[in-house]
Amino acid sequence: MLIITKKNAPEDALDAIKEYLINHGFDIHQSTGANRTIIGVIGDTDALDEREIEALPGVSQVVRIKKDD
Amino acid sequence: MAKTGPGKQDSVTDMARTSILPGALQGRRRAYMIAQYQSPRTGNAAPGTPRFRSSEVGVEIDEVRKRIDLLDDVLLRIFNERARLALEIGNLKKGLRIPVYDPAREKRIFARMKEDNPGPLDGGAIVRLFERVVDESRRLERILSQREGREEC
Repeated sequence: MLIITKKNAPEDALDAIKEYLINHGFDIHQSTGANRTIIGVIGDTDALDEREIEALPGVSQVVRIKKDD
Repeated sequence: MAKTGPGKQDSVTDMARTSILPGALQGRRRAYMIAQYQSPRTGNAAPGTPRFRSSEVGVEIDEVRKRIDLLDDVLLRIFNERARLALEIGNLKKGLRIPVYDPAREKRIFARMKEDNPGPLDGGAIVRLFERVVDESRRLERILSQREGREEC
């Protein structure tokens, strides 16, 4: 699963997204770009509700990686 | 192999001048490149002189790669030592019931590295590298913490 933040999302919003994921037992790979941050969520993300994550402040997009490919 | 002639010299020396190799190596490479098509007798470009002797340039590439390999060996030790220290912190935090994730601390690391960065990597690249390091330390902490949790059960 990839989480893409909104442009210039505030730091505390990014911290909250990461804290959410870490507290749910996931590892993350963060990659900070010029305007946005992409967070790769490592682990079995089936249990993660995309809508719950999309509702977090600062989240622009949640992309599930297809398992079959 | 491409042949050189009079008038082509500047483009080769310009290339050597703008090389990203460290100063001493750049100087040696520049001297080497100039020597390749200068006649030892006249100092002029020798007709038909190859622009590069690929085997000698290959040797130089190998020398630089060996230096990179040595640095990679050091990095491997440093990454693992850093991870061990991060685990030590994790154990101490566990005893004090302090959360593993400390965003303020992570930001201070990235900011300090960016500020102290001498280049040639830019600040963004340095931050991305250290994000990777920190993410992997956190992951290691989680794995060991889960393992200990299972052992306690």
